[in-house]
Amino acid sequence: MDRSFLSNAEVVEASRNLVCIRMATYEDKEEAEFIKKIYKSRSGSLENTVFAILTPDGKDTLIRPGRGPHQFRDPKQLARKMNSIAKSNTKPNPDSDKSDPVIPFMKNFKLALNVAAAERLPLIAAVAPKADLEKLHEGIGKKMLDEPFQGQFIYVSTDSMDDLKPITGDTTKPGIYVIQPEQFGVSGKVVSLLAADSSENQIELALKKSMNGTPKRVNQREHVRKGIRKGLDWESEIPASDPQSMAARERIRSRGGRRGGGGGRPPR
Amino acid sequence: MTKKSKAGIRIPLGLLSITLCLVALPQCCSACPQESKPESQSEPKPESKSSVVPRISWYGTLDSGLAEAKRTGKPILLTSAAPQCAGVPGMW
Repeated sequence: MDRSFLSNAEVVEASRNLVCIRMATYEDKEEAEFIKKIYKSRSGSLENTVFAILTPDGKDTLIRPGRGPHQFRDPKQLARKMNSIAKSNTKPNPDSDKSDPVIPFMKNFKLALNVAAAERLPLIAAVAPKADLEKLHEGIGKKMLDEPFQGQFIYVSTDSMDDLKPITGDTTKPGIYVIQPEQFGVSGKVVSLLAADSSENQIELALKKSMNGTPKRVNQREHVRKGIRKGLDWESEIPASDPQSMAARERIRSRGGRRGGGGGRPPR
Repeated sequence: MTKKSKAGIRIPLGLLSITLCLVALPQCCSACPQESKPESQSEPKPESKSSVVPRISWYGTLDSGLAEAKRTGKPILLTSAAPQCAGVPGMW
């Protein structure tokens, strides 16, 4: 699978005319049911990766769903298709201006840290007691939609200080945390902490300072080998069921990660 | 006699090379900060816009993405992937 599809500049530009959803497979039962309806795999089970374009109500597919964008010759062709779909399938909602844009966030802190590591992006975490969290979430969350910051962070909010236990640095106060995940996304360190009452300028400055530039690529085989040696074994919310990936997992783990391969890598 | 003359030549040449180095060195050092200081030693530069690669802005949950698609009427680009490879997290 060509990993360059979803990081291609033309695809990224075209993506602004669609709503992009990237779910973590096996991390939510309802999402798993939805994916199974969208993509009927040969095995009949929920596979590691799925790729599709849907109508705005999410009920119908606009391209043939698959494990990846294999049906497109190259990213340019995918970008063209995305643009033509956006042109002919956008159904402007006359009431859209009356409601605020939905903030993109991750389901929980643990998963957000993992995804931030996988994406080589900083994690922004709004942390506050329940009563104060919504206000904090609205303030920082909407920044994730501003053009300079779009797609540059993984964002999550939590009312549990315990979530910060695997993070090094001062994690005793509520506020907006900028966290650099370590390679495997099971721990990380505080890069900066903003008070809950920080001004927009202060928030923007902290976000700009922590933007990564070009993320470094990681060698997949080396990553897996090191992870197995460290004893890491990610436990998903629901059991993995992709026969191809499960077989690869067994094969790789029995060899201590010495051999890579075995699917499940999405396009990037 | 021969040895002496050879040594006599060596000393002035040595002195000459030392003198040249002493004359050239200050010029090199004064030029360094502007022209040839390695990047790692220079002042940290603020993040420039050009070094940040535009990326897709993803909704990380189905519900939030569907809500935004409903609000805007835009079609949905949907992907799903497991954030682990052979059980090792931190990689798709």
